[in-house]
Amino acid sequence: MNITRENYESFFLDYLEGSLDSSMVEEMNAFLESNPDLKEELEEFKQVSLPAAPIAFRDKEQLKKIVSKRDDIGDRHFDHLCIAKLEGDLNSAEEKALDQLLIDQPQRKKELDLFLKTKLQPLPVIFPDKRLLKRKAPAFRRKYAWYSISAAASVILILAFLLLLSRFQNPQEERIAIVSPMTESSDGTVSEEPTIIEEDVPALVDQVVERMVPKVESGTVKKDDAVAMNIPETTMEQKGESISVNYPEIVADRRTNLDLLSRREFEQITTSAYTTIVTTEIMEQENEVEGEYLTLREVVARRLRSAVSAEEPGATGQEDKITFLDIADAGVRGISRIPGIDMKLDRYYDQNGQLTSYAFTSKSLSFSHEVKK
Amino acid sequence: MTVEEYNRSVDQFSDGLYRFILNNIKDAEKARDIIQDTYEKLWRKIETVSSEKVKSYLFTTAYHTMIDLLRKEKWSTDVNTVNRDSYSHTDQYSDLNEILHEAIERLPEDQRSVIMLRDYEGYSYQEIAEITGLTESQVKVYIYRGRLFLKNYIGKIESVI
Repeated sequence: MNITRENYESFFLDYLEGSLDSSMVEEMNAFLESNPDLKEELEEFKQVSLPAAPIAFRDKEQLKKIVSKRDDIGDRHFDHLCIAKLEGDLNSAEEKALDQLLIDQPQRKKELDLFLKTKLQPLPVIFPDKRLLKRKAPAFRRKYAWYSISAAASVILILAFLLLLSRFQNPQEERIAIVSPMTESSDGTVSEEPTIIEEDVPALVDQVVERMVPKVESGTVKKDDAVAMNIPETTMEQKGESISVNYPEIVADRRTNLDLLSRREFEQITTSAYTTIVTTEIMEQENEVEGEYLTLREVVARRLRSAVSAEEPGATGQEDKITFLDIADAGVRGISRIPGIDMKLDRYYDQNGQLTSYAFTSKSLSFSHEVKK
Repeated sequence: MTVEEYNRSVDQFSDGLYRFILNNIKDAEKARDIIQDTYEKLWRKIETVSSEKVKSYLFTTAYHTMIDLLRKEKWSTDVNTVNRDSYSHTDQYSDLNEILHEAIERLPEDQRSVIMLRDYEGYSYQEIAEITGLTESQVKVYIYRGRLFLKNYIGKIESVI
């Protein structure tokens, strides 16, 4: 910027304060040479100044602070380092600073030790009422399926027991078993295994007539024999046939409604005077091998499965095993017969006949469960 | 969480929880009530509280239940009323831990809680902040002040002994 007569004042102020750079100073000198009147004015400017008065503050020392003789780490900083060390918050630089401080001022080691002692150690306090706080798992949540099915099975087993009990108390529904004596066949061999035929009375007569003495000359059944056989007299008369048997033993079988018992099992469970050796013969199932002997468990299993799996087309094999679902199914079926109660237990099988899942359905509750393989 | 996990939390945390509350309010009956109330609240929220968070939930719930109780009964300790110089005592101290636990009782409630959560349960600053509802900075400040008080307390006791 060039210095002119219009703007020289601000340049004069900078010139007098020495804030003009060298090029501007040269330009200012040239401007003053060419304008002598303004040069005189600048000289007058130089004479106007306020010299500093010699005044001094005399109480400086009272304002000064005593310089601590401790090192530059103050008390608060030292406390901070100690607490940070206790809490595990020190970084490496702070750790070194603290170590150096303790080397320089070993008397502070005691303070650090005191800080380290402030770490609380738990007192052995035991809560006395833990047992009151614990809860039992709600049956509905996790084991609902198991318990509900078990309950259903239990109910039906009780009902079945009551049904059997009623049969005990009702003579009209008694079932009998006839054990044939050892008979000699036409070829002279003696049958070692007597057979037992157990049926309701009318059917029994048919069985006796057809199987045991079909070719015997007609005769008359003695009344005493009929009584011994516990056969209603009317039944005999209706049949109009006489029966002659070689000392048949008639055993009133009040034990169970199981129609098949193995001889071996039966010998083990009874020695009653009213019972003799009983050998079971599987008579109902056509596909069974004649003369097959089964254990009591197998007999029960077959009976149960024949009742349950009749509607289970997918079920295959293992007829001699009773599964939990068989019992549960039987229970559910029994309960569903009660008027007003509608429930069922469905089982689902894959192509190989393996059980894949089961489902329980009722009015108020339904659930299904996949069987883990 | 499952019922089994709930019952496991009773075995794992009820002692520490009881100790924490008992050291704060010094009333065994009320401490038991608070623990039972805390677990009752946990039971009501068993479906939403995970087993990983159950300890934090228990301490948070117990702490706030305790604070509510203290406020109701006006037991809250006024920080300004704590006389930090009243260290005089005549009992014979058996060990340092006993001295410390007497000292911790003299701390203001907030400082006492954060130090116990820190020392007894090993919680981080952030976890303590979540439990107590304080900021992490406040937790650090309370721990700092509490430690300083404890250090001075046991220092004076040691000098007396």
